[in-house]
Amino acid sequence: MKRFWNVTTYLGLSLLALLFVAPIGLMLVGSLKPDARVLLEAGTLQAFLPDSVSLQNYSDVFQRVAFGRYLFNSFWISGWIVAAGLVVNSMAGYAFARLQWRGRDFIFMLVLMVMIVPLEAIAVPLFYQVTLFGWRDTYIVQILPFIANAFSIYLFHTFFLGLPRELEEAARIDGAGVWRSFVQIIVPNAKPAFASVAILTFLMQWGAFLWPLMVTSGPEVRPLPLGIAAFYTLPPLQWGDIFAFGVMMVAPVLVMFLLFQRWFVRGVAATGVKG
Amino acid sequence: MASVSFKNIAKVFDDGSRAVSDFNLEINDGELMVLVGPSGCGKSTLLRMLAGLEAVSEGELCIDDQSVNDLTPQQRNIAMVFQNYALYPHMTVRRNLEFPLRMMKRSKGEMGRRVAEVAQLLGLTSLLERRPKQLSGGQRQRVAMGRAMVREPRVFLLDEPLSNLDAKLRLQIRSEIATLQRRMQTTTLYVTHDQVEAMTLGDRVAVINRGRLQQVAAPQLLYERPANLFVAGFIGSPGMNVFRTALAEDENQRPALQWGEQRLPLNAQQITALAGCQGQPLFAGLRPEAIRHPDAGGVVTTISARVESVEALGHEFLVYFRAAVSALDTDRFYETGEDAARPAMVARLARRPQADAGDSIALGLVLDELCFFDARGMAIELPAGSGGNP
Repeated sequence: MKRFWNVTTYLGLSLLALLFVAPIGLMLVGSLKPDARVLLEAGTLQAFLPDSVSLQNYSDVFQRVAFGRYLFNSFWISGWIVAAGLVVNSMAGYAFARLQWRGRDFIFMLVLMVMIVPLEAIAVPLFYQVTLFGWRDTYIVQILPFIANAFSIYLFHTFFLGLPRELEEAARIDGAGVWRSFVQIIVPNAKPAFASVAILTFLMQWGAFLWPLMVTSGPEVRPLPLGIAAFYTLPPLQWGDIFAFGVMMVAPVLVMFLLFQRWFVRGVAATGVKG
Repeated sequence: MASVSFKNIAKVFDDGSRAVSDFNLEINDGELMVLVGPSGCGKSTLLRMLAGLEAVSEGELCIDDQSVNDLTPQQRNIAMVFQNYALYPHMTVRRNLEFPLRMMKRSKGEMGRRVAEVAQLLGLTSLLERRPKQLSGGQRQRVAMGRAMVREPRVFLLDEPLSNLDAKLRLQIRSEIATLQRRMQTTTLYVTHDQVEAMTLGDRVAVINRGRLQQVAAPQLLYERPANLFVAGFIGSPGMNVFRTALAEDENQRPALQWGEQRLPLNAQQITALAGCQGQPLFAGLRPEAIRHPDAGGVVTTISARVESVEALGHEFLVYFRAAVSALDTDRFYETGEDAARPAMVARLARRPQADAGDSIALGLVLDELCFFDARGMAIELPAGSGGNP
């Protein structure tokens, strides 16, 4: 009986996994097929069979759009947001978790409230603001508003609360000030939190679409999601190219996740946050 | 090296709870002072105030006659060993030991020399490149000690440093700490809830309850002459047998102590000390070892008792018994002021008694070792030279 349930459970789970993996499989296989066949085979199992492998679509992508530029932009923007975000948000999280100052809990509550405000709600006023600053069509307009992040602060706050207070107290007695004990004692022991915040921020920014669409107008500073959107407006609509673009867009994210997966899991477990 | 003084120290937390009240204590240069008391009595708060980790609410804290109330921990030049050791997990043992010296901006050469010395002293030389999680509990404890010693602080603070170790290791490290302290002659404040640790380690022991100092004295004095019922019950394992009694007269019209219908004879010093206590409530206490076999030395009078249980400890036997008077629960007396009866008294006998639970036996009382307390639980002083409290 137990065996029966085991088999059933695994069968069910495998089907579910297949369901999730199918679109990615379709994308990967489609990107390797001639354009004409992609549409022809859509809706049949044939679509999942890589019977004729060609990299034509990939080279088409590079010819039709400035893929390299988009890729660089995406890395540049996400990279800066991740790097500066780690510095700013970890310090904020630490200040909320460990330092004693007037109004701390109230301000922390405000920060938590910001978490539930979606970008869409503030996009227009923010747009006016950056237009006023003359920042449209720049990198900075895509980076600066996303460095301070309430969710990241919350993650760091939770993680720091879980670190033994005695570590900092020992450091203070040993002669370290607040800054030094943060940098030399807290940060090295919070790698899992840094890894999860880095991955979550990177994923979020890698897929950013609405804001870049609003504040940029040319491929010079636009990120990948706007690049792939360009295909839908560039006739003829070629699915093979779109798939190839999609594969190249997803690959860096997958690599990053695989690189940091170990820490990511630890960080999520330690902060008690589900992805 | 330094002397430390707590002057009228109090600690009130933000929520209004009072952890320490009107606390006065002088710790001499080079002395090992143990703060002992039950959990939550305020002893760790006192230590943390001295370390600079908690602000002092009232009073003045001095190291070498210099007020340190407003100094940061790093300005006080003290070192502390935490209950969970608080070793930096991401650093090797060597880096852990170097950390305080690094903060003091010592030269590389000096750091190397100091670390080598301390590692040698504590037997850590072969472990210098390991991380804390690769060490056993005892080794971690030593590293924590080493990190405290390496900078040659003015005062050493130890917060229940043995409580995470198993019994055997605790014994070993305890004697190591005592030896190290004697060798280094650094003023040390040691906090523990374990009274055996307190008795064996301390030059002097300060007993604390509910944020107040109860008594400070050398361990033996504390044991023989407790200042009040709390100390009498807390120090010693098991604690002192305390019973409610009153002055009465024996058949020769000499002052004696009531023990049910029986009268316990008093010696001359005891009679003098209790002269003013006629007709007043009185508590008397006897240590378990002052209740012996009737034929043992020092026994003045014999009582009859009913055995409740016998615990064999190998070299001695603890006999729990009921007698004509019932024992006082000193903890509860202190908590609530109630004169609540404790189930049984206890005697520490050298030989197994020829009796089982429920049997009646005769037990001898060494009355010269009686201690007396007034109705508030404060010791009544006996003239010098008598066996019990002075």
